[in-house]
Amino acid sequence: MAKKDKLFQTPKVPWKKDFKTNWGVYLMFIPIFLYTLVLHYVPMFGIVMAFEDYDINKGYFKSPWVGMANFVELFSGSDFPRAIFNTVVIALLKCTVGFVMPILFACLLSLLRSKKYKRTVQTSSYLPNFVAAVIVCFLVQEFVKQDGPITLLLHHLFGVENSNLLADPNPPTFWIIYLVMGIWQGIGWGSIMYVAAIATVSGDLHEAAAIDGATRLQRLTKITIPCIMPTIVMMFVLGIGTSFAAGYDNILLLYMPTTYPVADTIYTYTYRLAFAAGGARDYSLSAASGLFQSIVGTILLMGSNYMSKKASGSSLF
Amino acid sequence: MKGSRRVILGLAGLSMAATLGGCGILRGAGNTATDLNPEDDTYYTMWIHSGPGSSYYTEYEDNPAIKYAETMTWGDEGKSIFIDFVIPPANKEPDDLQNMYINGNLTHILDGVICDSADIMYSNNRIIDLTEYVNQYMPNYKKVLDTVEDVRKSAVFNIDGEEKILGIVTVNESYMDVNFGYEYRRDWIVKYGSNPQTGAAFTGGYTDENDPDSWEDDVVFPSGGSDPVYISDWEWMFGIFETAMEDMGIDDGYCISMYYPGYMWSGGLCSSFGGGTPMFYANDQGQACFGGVSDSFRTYLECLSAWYEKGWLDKTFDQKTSDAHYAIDSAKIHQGKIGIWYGQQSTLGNRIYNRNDPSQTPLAEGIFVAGAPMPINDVYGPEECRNVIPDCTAAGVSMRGNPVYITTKAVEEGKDIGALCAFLDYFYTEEGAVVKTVGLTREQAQASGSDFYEKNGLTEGAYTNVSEGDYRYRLTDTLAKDGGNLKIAVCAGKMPGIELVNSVDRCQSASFRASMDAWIKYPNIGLWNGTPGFIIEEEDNKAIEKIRTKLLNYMDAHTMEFIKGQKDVTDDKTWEDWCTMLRKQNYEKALGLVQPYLEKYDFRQP
Repeated sequence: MAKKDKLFQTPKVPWKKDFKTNWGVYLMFIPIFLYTLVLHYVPMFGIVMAFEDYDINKGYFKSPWVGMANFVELFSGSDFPRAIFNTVVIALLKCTVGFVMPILFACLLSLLRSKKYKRTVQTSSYLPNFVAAVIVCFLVQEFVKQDGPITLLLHHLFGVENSNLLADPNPPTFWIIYLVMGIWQGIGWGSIMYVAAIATVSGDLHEAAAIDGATRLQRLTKITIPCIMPTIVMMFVLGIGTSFAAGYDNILLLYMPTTYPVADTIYTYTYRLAFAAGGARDYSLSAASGLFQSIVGTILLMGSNYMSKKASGSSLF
Repeated sequence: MKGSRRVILGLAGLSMAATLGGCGILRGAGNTATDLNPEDDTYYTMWIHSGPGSSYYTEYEDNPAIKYAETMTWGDEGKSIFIDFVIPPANKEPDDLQNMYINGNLTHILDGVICDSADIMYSNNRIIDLTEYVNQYMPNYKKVLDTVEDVRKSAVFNIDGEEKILGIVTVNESYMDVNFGYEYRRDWIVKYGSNPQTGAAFTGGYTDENDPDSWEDDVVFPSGGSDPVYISDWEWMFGIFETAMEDMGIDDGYCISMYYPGYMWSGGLCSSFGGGTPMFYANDQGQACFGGVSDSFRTYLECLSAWYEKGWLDKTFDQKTSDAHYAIDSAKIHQGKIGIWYGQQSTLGNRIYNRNDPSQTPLAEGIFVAGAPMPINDVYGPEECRNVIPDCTAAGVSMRGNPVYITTKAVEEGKDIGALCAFLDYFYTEEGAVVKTVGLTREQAQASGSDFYEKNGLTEGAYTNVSEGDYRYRLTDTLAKDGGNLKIAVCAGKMPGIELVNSVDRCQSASFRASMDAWIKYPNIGLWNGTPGFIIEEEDNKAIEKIRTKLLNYMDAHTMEFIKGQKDVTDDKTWEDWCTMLRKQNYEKALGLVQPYLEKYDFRQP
């Protein structure tokens, strides 16, 4: 066995020799390397702003160093605990309900027999992803305002109070609206990865299961989902990593002071403190908040990756 | 192959032309001034805070008044001048200015509306000392500096023990009209109200159906005058508005709208309850104060809470977060469903009634909207919050306008500063002030080389000379009747100079003029924000703004709880908790930082 393994191992080739042979591949890597370096690593130096009283006129090197003062200011805000709570709740909803929906959608697509219909549904499901967030939020506002169609429907069917649903300060109305909006906008685009993964599942397995009398649902649960599990795990781990920091800009367009108790997240809280209209731009506070969210995101990413490795043996790294 | 080469060459030529055009190098030749090129010593660039404010042209260079001024010659050598105006993207003005600072790519002239204090810019080597130039080339501006103390304070700075003129500051002839204010449906008062003294029904209506302001009536308010003065007058109106709405079947209307946080940090209605603003202001002793914890604000909240409970206040005011404070629930205003609101000149009279298609505005038929002065509280709160004249309103506090600076870049590039100063001084002459404020005569328009006047029906020019009372100039009919922004388009408002106010007869009808006068009845004397020339040093301003942002952040989120009755504003414990939370934001520090500036600029000092 050991011999066989050795047989399949790539022989070690000195770097210079490899470069001479595959210089074209190295050349193709340069733009990617530069892109990552310039747009992802170099800007990381900006983190220094989180520890300074950054002044755009003085720049990074001349702005006064304030240590952890920006973090203290961020964490000691009267509404910060509320923002943390809402961020966690919304992140949890996104990582559970919001995460499952694209998988379900991809699975359902895979069960469709008519390829034409499948393609039509799949393509149409991508469209909301290309609609600007401002327009999506405007549509949501129109649908759920006092005389909006969804409000009236819910009012007549279930006796829900006839008022602007987006102004409801009680949980979970805002959370549900935000979640459903995210699912509507992202379900098609989010399912691409799973549709691709499902396409790689061997048809022989399905054929054999069908011969053995497995129903379509059984084939889905016993073959398709286990086969795409590594992809699901990878997406889940990545999703958890970004759940704390990404996708909250829509809240800025949807929330209002009435709904701060349920809608205010770290992102929006920081935005108001750092970039309030007419106020001074507080880049340092914003950088401190960004750094905090990134650290939490990294911890979540590594934690979820570790747990996934322990539980299923499948992990991202 | 040859064909494709031609196509490529053609495209390259086109892109080159577009690039040069974009840089202004291929600017169309017109008069002598526009024949200048950027290298010439009298070709200047000027950064202005906002665009032309007119739909008639997008480039300020096309302004006919500027074009006229550019036809003349200036300075010792009689040179033509051309100014290329640089306009930042909307809402990105501070960023654009910062970028100019950082890149060192300053324009030659700077509109100082959002710049740092002149002395700071001078110490940072961004602007130049104009003292010698003013003395030599600007006799008219110098006269203003010598006679108007307000302007002098904004333009002259003590640098290392020496007085230096750093800015060229606009001076207003008088308090300017404001564009916004409270306005109400006076036609409802006439139709549904009755004389509070005699009980007789009111009479009134339009004397000329085609004139939106030709309204006359015999309305008398409980306070005895023909205009609402007190909060009790307003509440009397609310009762009438309720009757009107009931009679007209308006079930989604309301008596009064409110800005979504429940207050305006700049004062507004809050100032009616004992003065001040919910944020920072100077009291009548010249002391910096924070109004969020004041009795005035508490009384204001008590009043609004009562109005909310009685159904007078818009029940969904806190949801209208995207509406500007001067256009709240604009759709309902235009439908004629609101009694009183904070609005603009464009909704006065019967301007919101759609004459061409009355079915679009059925509830606005016969509407007459009048401007109301800020009310004075005579109903709510302790005695010291009653019968106090509002002191933080929209009307301006100062006779001075915004400053303009000349940058070091102009000197570095060898521009003729003397010629430029002579050019700018023109707007401090009587003729220049008219050009800046009113526009051009027919002869001047012809001399400008611009066909703007001809195109827009101003064949008689912008004004005629008169001598009636204070008036020296009267707008021509076309300009006077224009409801758009032709009045802005014809004059050179972006240039510094003398802003004529009282001497121009704008041919406004009596009712329109009454609304304008109502809006400036109580001048703003307590709010320093936005006061031209009141410039706080960068570091201090940053610290103050940071505190202000934190205060607003808290107040925006929680003020409505008092108004909507979720918290009882009359409960001392609840109010103390509110004050404690605001105290935690450290407003005392901000007040301490501002106080020296109040003294420096002599702002409301006793």
